[in-house]
Amino acid sequence: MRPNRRGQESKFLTGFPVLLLVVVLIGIFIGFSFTLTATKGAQGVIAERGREYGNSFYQPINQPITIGTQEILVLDALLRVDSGDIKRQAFENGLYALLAPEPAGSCLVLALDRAPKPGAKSGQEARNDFYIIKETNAIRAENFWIYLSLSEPYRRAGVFSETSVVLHDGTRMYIEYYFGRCVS
Amino acid sequence: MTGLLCMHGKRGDVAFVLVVVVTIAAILSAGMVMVTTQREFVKQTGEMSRLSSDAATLESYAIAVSAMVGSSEIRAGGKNETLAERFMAKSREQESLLAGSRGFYERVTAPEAVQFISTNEGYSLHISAIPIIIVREGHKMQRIMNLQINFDGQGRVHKVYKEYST
Repeated sequence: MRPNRRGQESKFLTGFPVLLLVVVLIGIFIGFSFTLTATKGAQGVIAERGREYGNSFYQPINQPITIGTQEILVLDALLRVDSGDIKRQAFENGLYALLAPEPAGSCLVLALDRAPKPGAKSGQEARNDFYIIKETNAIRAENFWIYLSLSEPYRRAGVFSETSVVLHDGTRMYIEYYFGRCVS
Repeated sequence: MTGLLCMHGKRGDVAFVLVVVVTIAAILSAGMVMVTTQREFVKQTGEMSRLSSDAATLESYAIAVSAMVGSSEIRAGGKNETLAERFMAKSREQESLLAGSRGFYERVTAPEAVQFISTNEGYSLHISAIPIIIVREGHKMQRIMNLQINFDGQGRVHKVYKEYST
């Protein structure tokens, strides 16, 4: 009887870890399958309320054209500032209108570059950085030479959002933005 | 009799050991397949994620431009019958450096694709079959989007619906 009991014990000792492994692997397979199912995404009709889709760079602003002004998206205007079609000052004037209905102490921070985290660049490279402040009596743009020190509190607070877009020529441009209460 | 029992016991052990060995081999091979598949999947997911993000950007752009131009034409006043024409004319004036936006502008200026009508609640803009095509490093993502934007009487966007055609 003794050898039989030993046999049973050894069978159990060998078999149990294997069974445990099988159960764990089955669990991983099931988890993996659920992950794959979840990434398929929704199809069909999606309803959105107005403005919910909008980031600050999907808002319209007025830009001067040959005669009068034209309404264009902040995104298009920003890309055309980079290509030289629109002047920096004209673009800043257009951005002022976005801050007009906001309370004093609101800020709009926008940066564009060919590398990720465009707002982190300093001095000369920050030519496509914009920092617009609404004060009690005025709306003004900060000089981009001091943009690095101005943007640092926003970076520390982790409030910047980043996205990227691809241009017709295949160039990927990175945009960092923030629109809300000023952070200092 | 005892010898026979012992022989039976040994045969049983051999079979059990084989089961254990085969199970471990199966688990190891399944694990290897899983790990290699997951690595490939992560690579593919990265590419898919970028394509998907670019497509989402283009969709948001199409919605934003349509809402901006539509709203502007409602606020400008004029006859309701000419809304669609005026919408297409204004859309032609827009310029964009964004990749993939040409397909949108071609569609949004095609008379058969645009319907802009007055409703009881305000106005409704329908644009059919907007191509959302993203090509990147040999990968391509293509969607056909139907868009409906409902405005109130003052040109404020009330609701946006998008639907993908098969």
